[in-house]
This record gives sequence, C-alpha cells and structure tokens, in this order.
Amino acid sequence: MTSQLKTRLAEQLFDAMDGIDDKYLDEAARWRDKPVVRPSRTRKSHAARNWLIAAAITLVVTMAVLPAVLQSSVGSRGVNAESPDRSTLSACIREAVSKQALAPCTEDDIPFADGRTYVVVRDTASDRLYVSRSLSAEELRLVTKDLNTSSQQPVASGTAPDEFRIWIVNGDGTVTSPALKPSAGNVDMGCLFDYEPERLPSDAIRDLILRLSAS
Amino acid sequence: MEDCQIVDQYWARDEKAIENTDKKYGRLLRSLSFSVLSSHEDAEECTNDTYLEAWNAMPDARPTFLGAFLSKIVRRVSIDRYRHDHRQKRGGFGPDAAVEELTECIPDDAETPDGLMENQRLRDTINLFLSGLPEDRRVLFVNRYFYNAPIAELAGRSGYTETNVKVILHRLREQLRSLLEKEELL
Repeated sequence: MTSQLKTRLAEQLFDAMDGIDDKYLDEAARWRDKPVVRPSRTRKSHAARNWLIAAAITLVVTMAVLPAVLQSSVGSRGVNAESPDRSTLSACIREAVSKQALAPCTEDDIPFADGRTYVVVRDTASDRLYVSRSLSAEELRLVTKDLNTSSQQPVASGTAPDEFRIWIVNGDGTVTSPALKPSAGNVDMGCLFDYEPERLPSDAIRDLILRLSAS
Repeated sequence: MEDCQIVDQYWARDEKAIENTDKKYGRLLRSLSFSVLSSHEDAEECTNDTYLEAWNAMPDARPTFLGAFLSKIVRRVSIDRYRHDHRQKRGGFGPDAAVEELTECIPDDAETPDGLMENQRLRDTINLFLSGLPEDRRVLFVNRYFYNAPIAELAGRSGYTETNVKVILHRLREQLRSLLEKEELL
C-alpha cells in the first residue's frame, strides 16, 4: 500500500469522526470544562514535599525577619508601616496602576495582534481599563509558568478576587486570562471577553505585575 | 440559557437564537475552527457559516446537544476550507498531526474497494469502539480526534504527563485498528 493511499484512508477516518455520537461529543466537551484533578498518588507526594518546603521556607523567613521585627519593636517603626501591601494580586495591580506601570486605555487602544504580549486589567468598580507595556521574554516566562502551574490552583468559582478582571493579550489576536482554566474554550480573539473567575492566578502572575511596577 | 430555549428560538425564526448561540458556544466554535485553520479570520468566517447552516437546518433538526451539533458543523466547514486552501499547496490535508497519528490505524496490507472504507459502517464502528471504552479514555480520544485538542492540553487537564497521553492514545489507535480489521473495513 502506498503512503498516499494510507494517508487518504487516515483522512477518511478523521472525517468519519463527524459521525461520533452527540452524547460522546458532549461528554468530551464537558470534560474540558471540568476543574483539573490531579492523580491522588501525585497529590500525596506533592503534599508531603510541599509541607517540607513550606516548613523550610517558614524557618528561613522567620530567621530573616525576626531581627527586623525585634528592631522595629524597640523604636524604629515607620519603614515597614509604609511598605505597600503586596500580599494579593489585587494589591499588586493597584500598585501597578498607581505607578502607571498599567496605563489607562480604551479597548480600541489595545494592540491585539502586533506580535507582542500585553497584560490588560479592568477595574470592575470603575470599569476602567489599564494596559501594560509589551512583555519581555523573561516576563513571558512568568505567564508560561502560570499556565504550567494552573492545575494546582483552586478552581472553585467565587474564589478569585472580583476587584479586577485580568487578560493576557498574546499578540496573535488571541486573548486568554490567568483567572480561567486553560482550555480551548477559554480563548477568544480580538476582544476582552467578560468572564466569571474560575481559578486564582498563580504567584507567577503576581510576580509579573510586581516586575512591571518595578520597571 | 439552556440549549432547548435556544433551539426554540431557531424554530421560531427568532434572530436572537444566533446571538445567544454565539454567547454560549462562540468561543468553543472559534477555537475548534482555529485548531484546524490556524487563522483567526478564517475561523471567524467558518463560525459565521456555522450559524447560517444551523439557521437553515432548524427546523427540521432539533438537536438535544446543541454544542455537539454546532461542533460537527464547524469542524466540517473548517476542514473543507482547509482542504480547499491547502490541498494543492501541500499535497496533504490537516490537521496534519492528528491525521498522521491516525495512519497507525491503517495496516500496511489494508485492502479496500476503491481505496475507501464504507462510510456509514466506519462511523458505526467508531461509535462501537467508543462505547466499549472507559470514560477517561474516551474523552481523551474524542478530544484529540474530533476537537483536535493539543496533547499538552489533554495532559494538563487529565493530570497525566504528555508522554502518558501519547502512550494512551497510541494504545487506543491500536485497539481501533484491530476493530476496523475485525469488522472487515480494512
């Protein structure tokens, strides 16, 4: 059999997938919309490892912070009191907006397909939009890191902060959001689609916003 | 909005049906089309063509699973478009990766009258194959070969590694190949 004929039959097989029963198509589409579940074996080993890492980090942080805390308690107050809150993504976004690292814009200003990647946020209270400068290669790595860790993020609706909506404009027309589970259904083109948050963006996104603020 | 309410709007020739279809399924359809065509403009056109076909098909059609019904249309429209644009240029047809994987289902010594398998029996056999699979395997197969989902996405969603997903799909293709031979389609 020639490879050409083999490919032709494979094409026919691919075409025939159109005949898949609707209930199986519906089942598969629903599966893509379900929260990500990690295998229990992995979850168990990750839990143990994460506990050890958390314990180690706590120890190191305590050792590093303790002198500063002691110092502040004996009279050198003020420095820590004035340092900005960076504990949440919303707080980091607020800081970035105040420093104009995220600049006010309208949807028409956003370059959806100029080959560069941007972060766009919308303040849900004022409905104002803000866009970042184009991301560097290192900053793009943080976006990828967020995608790679997405399956570890909480996925229940209502868990993500409602203060801002956040999108990544990918430069090829596609728009995604780190507040949504990565799936084909959560990609749109050339517009800032409204959405209900499905997960908390990972710390990589917070790091990205902090980098934008610092630059 | 529930599928049945949107279908009722189609049957009532209410143009809001298309608006509501786009709200509920627009992203899924554009994304499926884009996975075939790799062009946002073409994907947008194919999605609009899909709405027109759905408008013309209802009535008489009353789909229970509107998403699946529309997905079939957009997939076919997009593949036709891809073939039209690429067959002469590339001598093949896409999405190339999925088709290439499916060549594993075709034995080297396959014998088919006119070089083609019998279409309806082929579709029945695929459904027979799917009905015998556990759900976790079936969703991987359908997402890969109908929705054209990338391996990386399937790995992310299933919790398996990409290598695991490739191995699972390879075994599923082998099972399908055995069934196609058993049913004397090849």
